[in-house]
Amino acid sequence: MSKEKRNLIIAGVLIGAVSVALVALGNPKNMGFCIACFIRDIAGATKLHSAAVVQYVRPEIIGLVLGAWIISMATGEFKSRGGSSPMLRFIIGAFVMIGALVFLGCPFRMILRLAGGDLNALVALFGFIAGIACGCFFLSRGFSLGRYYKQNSLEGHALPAVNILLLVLLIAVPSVFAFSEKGPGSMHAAILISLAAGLIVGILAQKTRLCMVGGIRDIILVKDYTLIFGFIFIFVAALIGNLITGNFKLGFEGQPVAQTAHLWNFLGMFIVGLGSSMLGGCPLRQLILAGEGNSDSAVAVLGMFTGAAVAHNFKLVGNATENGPNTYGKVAVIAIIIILLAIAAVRTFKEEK
Amino acid sequence: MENRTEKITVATFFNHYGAMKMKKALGPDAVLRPVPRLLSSSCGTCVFVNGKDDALKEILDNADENLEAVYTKDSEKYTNIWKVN
Repeated sequence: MSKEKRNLIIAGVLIGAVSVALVALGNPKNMGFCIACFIRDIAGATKLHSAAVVQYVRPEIIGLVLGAWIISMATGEFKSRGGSSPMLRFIIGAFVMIGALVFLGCPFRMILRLAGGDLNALVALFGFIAGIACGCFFLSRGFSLGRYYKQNSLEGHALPAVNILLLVLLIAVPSVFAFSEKGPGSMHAAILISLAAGLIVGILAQKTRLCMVGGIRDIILVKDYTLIFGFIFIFVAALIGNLITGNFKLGFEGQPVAQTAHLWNFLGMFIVGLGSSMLGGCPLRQLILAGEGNSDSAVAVLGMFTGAAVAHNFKLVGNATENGPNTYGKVAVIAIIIILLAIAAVRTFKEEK
Repeated sequence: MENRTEKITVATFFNHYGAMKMKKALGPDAVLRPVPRLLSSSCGTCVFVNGKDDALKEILDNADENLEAVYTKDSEKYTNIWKVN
């Protein structure tokens, strides 16, 4: 077995275990980690949206960025770089977030939901794979958002600095934020535990290049099965953890923070698969790349942050009580798929080669 | 018995399509692979070229703006032999 594969297995097991532990310590069920949900919670806490049940400054997100930032500086891998279609990345980042919030989870939470027995996440997994396959269709025909360039080092440190500021404010003057008093936003582990979990997963993900999209993309594009091992072992570890802690419940109905609207779960994650393939990585990977100096990924993260606010302000998100997104959400999903396909087609077939 | 290790040359690219085009140009000696972790913390596609002494020349002859760098691989050690400005 290659060293890369072995490291991915170890990282996957540790990340799965950390995710289950976070739920035991206060996070919502099947939500030890959810990049989309947590960025959305931060957007709520900073009052970009006013959905009262999803507002909290999630230290896990801060930890992920800072973990990647610290380890990449320590190992000399921090490189300020960017300039690859920032505006398109912003928009695609926002679309990925809206797709994830229609499903009610990012690819990371999709795995954790599967490991909790939530079969709605299986439907979403098919959508996710279909979206990545669609992205690979364009990638193998010339799709690219353009090359990156070396940038001034301040550019790469900017997003980690913003995260440090968020952390300082959270600890020193939490009253500047809005916090949920009920609902998922009110459920969380202690700040330092969440921060430590984020730092650990951030370091592991930077060292192993763990990516929920990359594993499936590599299988389709180059028939390489290395990266998928991280994905598989997060699932295995979280499944075992959920069985031990009694949080495993197999079925479609009554799953935590979930809906059984199959078509919209499928299409929501189709958007995430397609958009993430175009961005070059899943939402977790965007945070990690942003931490190691990639300002293109930092822009995608800001797009996700904005997309979360848009999704809640315009009520596009999935809805557990009404079992699916409302008409606005459904129209948005269809429109986003059309726009993503149009962007992909233009950047594939209309570029000078 | 002589203990020989075959020469391997690795080319990295700014995008997947660049790697695909290079693989097509170089023929059966070239293989598409994910970029090794030792080379980069990014996760793109690269081209491994096995057993060709003039691999660098052939890569550069077929290169376009998508080529990022070229390395030689000696067991698990990679040496950079070309890099875009």
